[in-house]
Amino acid sequence: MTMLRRFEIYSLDPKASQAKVAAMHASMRNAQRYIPEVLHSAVGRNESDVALHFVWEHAYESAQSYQRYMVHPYHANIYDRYLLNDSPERIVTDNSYDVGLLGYSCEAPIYLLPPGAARRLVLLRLAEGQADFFRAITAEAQSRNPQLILSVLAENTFGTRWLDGVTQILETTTYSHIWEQGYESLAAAAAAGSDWRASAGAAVEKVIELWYELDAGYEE
Amino acid sequence: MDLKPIYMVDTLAVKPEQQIAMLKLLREEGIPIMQDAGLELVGCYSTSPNLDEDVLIQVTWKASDHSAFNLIRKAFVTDPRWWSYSARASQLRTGGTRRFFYPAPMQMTA
Repeated sequence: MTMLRRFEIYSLDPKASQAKVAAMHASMRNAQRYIPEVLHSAVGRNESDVALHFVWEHAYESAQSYQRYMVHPYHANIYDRYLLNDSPERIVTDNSYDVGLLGYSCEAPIYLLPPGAARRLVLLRLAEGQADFFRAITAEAQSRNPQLILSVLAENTFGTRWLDGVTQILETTTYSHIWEQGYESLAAAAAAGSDWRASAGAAVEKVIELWYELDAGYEE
Repeated sequence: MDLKPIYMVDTLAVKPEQQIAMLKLLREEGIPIMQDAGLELVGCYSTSPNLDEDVLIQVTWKASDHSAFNLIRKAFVTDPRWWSYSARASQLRTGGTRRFFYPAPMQMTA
């Protein structure tokens, strides 16, 4: 069974009411209460200087599970209310980063961190054929930093397949790969730095980094 | 409760002086885009602009169920016209709501 790992990343409207932001936060953090198919749901407030504010990370057991999520009434009733561009109650904004929805396939929950841990998310566009070279860089970065307790590099296959997680409906996506890192604390995630960039050179054509503490809707 | 068909009810609040501009935008862009995506227009109603308060414009759409709506959503989200329409509509409105309604289970009432 192939799992789907998924991220939604948003910039928030500065004029949005705190009550609505809190309601969206709770609806995503606690997604599994409403849609059983949503696994390992957690939200976080980005602390990097990238002007993206809110991350919702989660997963699905299979493409079929994801397809049930997409047609679940809670999705249209609640999530679309805050997110869709034509919704009168939208609280997110367009942004120049072209992120929105990203993710990848995996055989097991290799991404899982305990509640309260921190994520550092590196979104990358790698030059053609550079994935193996960059994978070695991620391994080297992990070997140098004992605070880096989890490291997953994967191809971003979700950005172009958001409808059902399988069928490609868009030609391309801005970030070809996702490097998700785990740390025991937000301070460790913030301090990790990006020394790896010097080794990567021209293999990385575009990159942004976000870090946040996990407010998890699941238990350890 | 049987959650089909579904009625998507948008209530758009606008300043009285923006009522006609919003209705024009709906008639010329919003409604054609959503109909092309597969939604059925049930009705469009407005409160009076003469009450010294925001005008409410209520647009009701219908789809057969949430599976059908998922495909309709894909159609309008991938339509470049929807992005431009949505940006302009957001400049006109002062607030509002989006709610989904379903046939009320009247036979279950006392």
